[in-house]
Amino acid sequence: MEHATHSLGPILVEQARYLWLIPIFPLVGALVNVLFGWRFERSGNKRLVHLVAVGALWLSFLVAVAAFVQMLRLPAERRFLQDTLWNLFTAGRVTVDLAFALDPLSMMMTLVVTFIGALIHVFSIGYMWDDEAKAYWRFFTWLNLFVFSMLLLVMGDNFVVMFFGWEGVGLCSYGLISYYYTDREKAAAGMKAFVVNRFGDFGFIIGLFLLFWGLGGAWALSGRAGGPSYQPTAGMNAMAGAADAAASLALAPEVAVGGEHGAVAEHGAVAEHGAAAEHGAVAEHGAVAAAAAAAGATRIKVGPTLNFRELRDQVVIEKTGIAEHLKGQKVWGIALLALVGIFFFVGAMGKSAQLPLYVWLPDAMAGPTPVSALIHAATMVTAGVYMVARLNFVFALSPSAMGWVALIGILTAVFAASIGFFQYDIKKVLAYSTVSQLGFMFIGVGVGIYWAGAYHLLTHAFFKACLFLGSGSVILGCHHEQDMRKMGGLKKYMPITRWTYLIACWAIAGFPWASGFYSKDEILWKAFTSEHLALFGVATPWLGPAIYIAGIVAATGTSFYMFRSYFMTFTGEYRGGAGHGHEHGEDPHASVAAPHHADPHGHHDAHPAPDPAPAHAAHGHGAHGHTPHESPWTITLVLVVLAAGAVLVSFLGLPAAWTGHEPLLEHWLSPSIPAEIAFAHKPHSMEYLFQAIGVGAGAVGFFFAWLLYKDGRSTVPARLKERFIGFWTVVYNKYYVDELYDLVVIRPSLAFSRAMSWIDGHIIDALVNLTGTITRGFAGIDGWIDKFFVDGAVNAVATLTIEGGRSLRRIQTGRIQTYLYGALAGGLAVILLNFLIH
Amino acid sequence: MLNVGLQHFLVVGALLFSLGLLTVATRRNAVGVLMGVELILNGANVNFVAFNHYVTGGVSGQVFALFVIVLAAAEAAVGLAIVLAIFQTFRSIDVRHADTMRE
Amino acid sequence: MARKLFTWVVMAALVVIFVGVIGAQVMRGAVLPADAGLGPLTIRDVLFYFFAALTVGGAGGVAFSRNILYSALGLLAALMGAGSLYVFLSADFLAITQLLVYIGGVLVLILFAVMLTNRITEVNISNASLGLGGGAALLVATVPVLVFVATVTPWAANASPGLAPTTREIGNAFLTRWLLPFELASLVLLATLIGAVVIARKELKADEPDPAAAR
Repeated sequence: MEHATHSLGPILVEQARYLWLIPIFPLVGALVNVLFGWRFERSGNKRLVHLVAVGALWLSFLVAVAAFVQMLRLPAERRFLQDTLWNLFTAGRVTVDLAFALDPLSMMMTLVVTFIGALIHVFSIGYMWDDEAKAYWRFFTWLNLFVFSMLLLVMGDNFVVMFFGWEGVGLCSYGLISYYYTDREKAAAGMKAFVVNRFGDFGFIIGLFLLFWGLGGAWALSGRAGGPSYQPTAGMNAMAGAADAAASLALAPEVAVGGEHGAVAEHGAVAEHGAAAEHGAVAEHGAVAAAAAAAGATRIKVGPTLNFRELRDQVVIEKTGIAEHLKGQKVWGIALLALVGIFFFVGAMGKSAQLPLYVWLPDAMAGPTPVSALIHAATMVTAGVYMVARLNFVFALSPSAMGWVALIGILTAVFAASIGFFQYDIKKVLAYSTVSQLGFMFIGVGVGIYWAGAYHLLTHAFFKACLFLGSGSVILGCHHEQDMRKMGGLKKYMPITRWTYLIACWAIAGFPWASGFYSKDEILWKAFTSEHLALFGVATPWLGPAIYIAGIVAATGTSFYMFRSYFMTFTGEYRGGAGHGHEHGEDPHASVAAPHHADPHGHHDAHPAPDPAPAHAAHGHGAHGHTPHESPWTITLVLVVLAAGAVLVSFLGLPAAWTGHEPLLEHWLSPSIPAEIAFAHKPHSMEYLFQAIGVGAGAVGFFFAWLLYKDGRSTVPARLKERFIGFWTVVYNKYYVDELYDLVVIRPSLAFSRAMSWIDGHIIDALVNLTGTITRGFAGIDGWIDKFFVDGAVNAVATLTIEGGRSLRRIQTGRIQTYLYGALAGGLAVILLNFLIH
Repeated sequence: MLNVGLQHFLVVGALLFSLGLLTVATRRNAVGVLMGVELILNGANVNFVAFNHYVTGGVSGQVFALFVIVLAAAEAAVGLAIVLAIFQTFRSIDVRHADTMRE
Repeated sequence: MARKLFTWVVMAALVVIFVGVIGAQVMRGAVLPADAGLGPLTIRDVLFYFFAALTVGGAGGVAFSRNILYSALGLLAALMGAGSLYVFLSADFLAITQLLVYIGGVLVLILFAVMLTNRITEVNISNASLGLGGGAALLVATVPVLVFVATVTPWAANASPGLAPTTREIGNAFLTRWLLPFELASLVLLATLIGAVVIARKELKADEPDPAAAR
């Protein structure tokens, strides 16, 4: 199960020219629906809308399955499918292509996204058919666009495509949360999600820049990197000019490495060739060349890159020396890799709703339930986990970064779980549960058990989607009621929903035979046995066990509040039917007082009729009592599939202690996870013990929930609440975090923007006006100068001429005598001159 | 020097000429101007005759003086006719008034 | 009134002096021919000075007199004096011609003109632009120069040429040597005659503006 580091070679790429089809189907579906969907709806062909959307998703899933099948056929070390479409841009040595790549990790994600996405699309048919917003087409458009973006995110073979998808899912999340945009609160919830995500994205970008820069070594040319064959030179800098991809490639320094495992020994000759090696002078490697050629000597491009494969190759293969190079770099005294890890994790914090950027997720419940299921349970929020898992080799180089990830993960898990205790809105409970479970995933990738984090992602996708869709079914059945206090006793009205919900609760609580147990326990076990964690550069061996203990507490809490929701919803007597009143305040789903149709589910199929017929006829507004009913088959079928999946997926992660060989998923994911993390070896008995403790924690939670909430008869909750009302209020109001943010972040921002606006209006405009005034002044002066001096000069010339003429004219008196005088004077002058000269 | 010789006649001629010039230059009356012109001509005549007598023999100088007299007469006639015409035009024979040619 | 008296007194004094001088000479038994001397002066010189004074005095009268009529009379004196001087210079025909033409023709014409125009304007010597100062300057400028030239230049002069009648020679000269100018002069006179008539004729246009009234 451990791989020898030195035997890792570069990724071998298999071309698969059809991968672009996977994201293109949902994109086409979105385009068709955005252009023609409203027409379909108006012309009575509403079905076309979902046919297009759902069909696109299933097609996409089929292609993904085909890729999966192809991958299965390949040997494990060759499982890398690549499809390059075209070159997006080339900048210096860096080329960025629009390209898709599937390695085992992204394959898993793709399957999850397309499969669960398709299921949720089917669910949405039933759920959104009679939706009050009357924009069936818009919903499916956004949904398809979202899946497209998510696929870009997971399938992108470089940071740019991934980031495009990253932003795209943020956008679609906004579009879907604010789906009921006419309601101000819901629109505000969408904005909140988007803005908080932006904080995260900023961190992501900073991390990316730091990594890029670190690879290039702009300021790290001070010493020789530790690797034997690699020497940073100016050629490492990405800023060398290149006009196109080919030229760029030609500029890239490369390091020759052995093609397969174990070819290290022959590369001793390479050590002397330092800089020359960068130009891939294979011919110098004499004896090496023959062996290398036989093994398929490959050259690895080193230096700044945005491509995941290239990044992984450089960092993982020690021969390039990049890993040592990165480890040695510091930014203002802090290790570069720690910073990179932390900044990337900030991005994950935003996208995956970790502390402190989780605040958008509960508010995101304002969107329709399928949205909550798809985006905020199964896919978008897992993008952060995916990203950390994808960059496992970078994180693995920095124990500090890993420690931070794990720490934030556990803090989030506990924090969110505590809030979930007291919420009444069923979707809110599930939202906080999601945040908490995401925390667990981050614990997993934080301590270094990447496959377990991904596995928890997978299991969570199934059972959380099932839970959300189940709650959607419940909400629908209770006529858009979301407050659990108005529910109860639904098990007799909605059995299918009840059983699937129960199975999903079983899974999330971590009981064996449902997949949550395997993933969660693996994470916690590995957290306990981790040896690789540090904080602020200081090794913290206590962190692992601390995480474990807190994790157990969180697991207990998870079990408790999930079963609380189950008991409150499905057991006891139905408390609803007195109208649609529900709590305001934290519940944004306020627009419930919308017209219901006589037959809200009247579409193509007959209801499975667990509802008594009179209940059907008694549909109407809430003035008279109505009874909940089971949801149509499009909904319940999906629930069943998901619940089944939640159970079946457990086979992928059966622990080695049980089966004797590594879990299937771990084996599957191992090519994607080259990072080597040290875990303490503990005997299997200890592992069984810890698993039992985990189950016990779940049982304790279940027990208390059962005690307090079964059938809703117990008065203990009410009495406890009264007793600890202060504490209860704080937790119920989410520890006032939103208010804190409002005070600390939002108000200053608004004040700042007002100040800026004032500056712009008063100072900058004043400056501009001043400039205008000064210009006018200068113009005035110029005009004055022109008028008085220039014109004056011109006029003076004219005046001079006129006055000169006027004066000279006076000689012409018209009198003969004057002329006579003149003649005489002239004659006399001549005579005198003549006389004097002689 | 008191004995009369050529110079004396020349001096007389010069004086006549100067006074005639003065008259022409300063008189406001147009007829006065003409009188001045006669004086000038006479001064010239005296010079001619004096030179004829003292320097050149023969009668050339006198013939010339005769021509001068003739032309002076003609000129006086025409001149006075012009004065009359000016008087008709300007209603005055003050030479200062006949300055329509002035600029 | 005082001026008149003064003038008369001066003239009387001059006459008295003249008569006295001549009388004295006669009393002394001087011979009256012109060459008889009066000390260094001969009668001829005295007479010359007298007629020269008459000429120049007359010219001065023309130049400086305020009254145009007095100027005309001064002109008369100047012309007569000039004629007398011609006699001294053996130009007898010329002297008579001067008398007949100049005094008898031109001067009379001028007098006619004076009379015709006399009442219209008042004549006085001061010219607005130049005035007495200008006149004096002119005299100062011309007289010394001319006198200087006249006296200093060494003329090639005969000391005392004889006196002889000239009529015959002038007549000959006109018809031989100076024939062309003689004929041309007659043409000129003809032209003058016509021209003077034409110029002095009154304009026939009725609406001509009156320049004197416009001032």
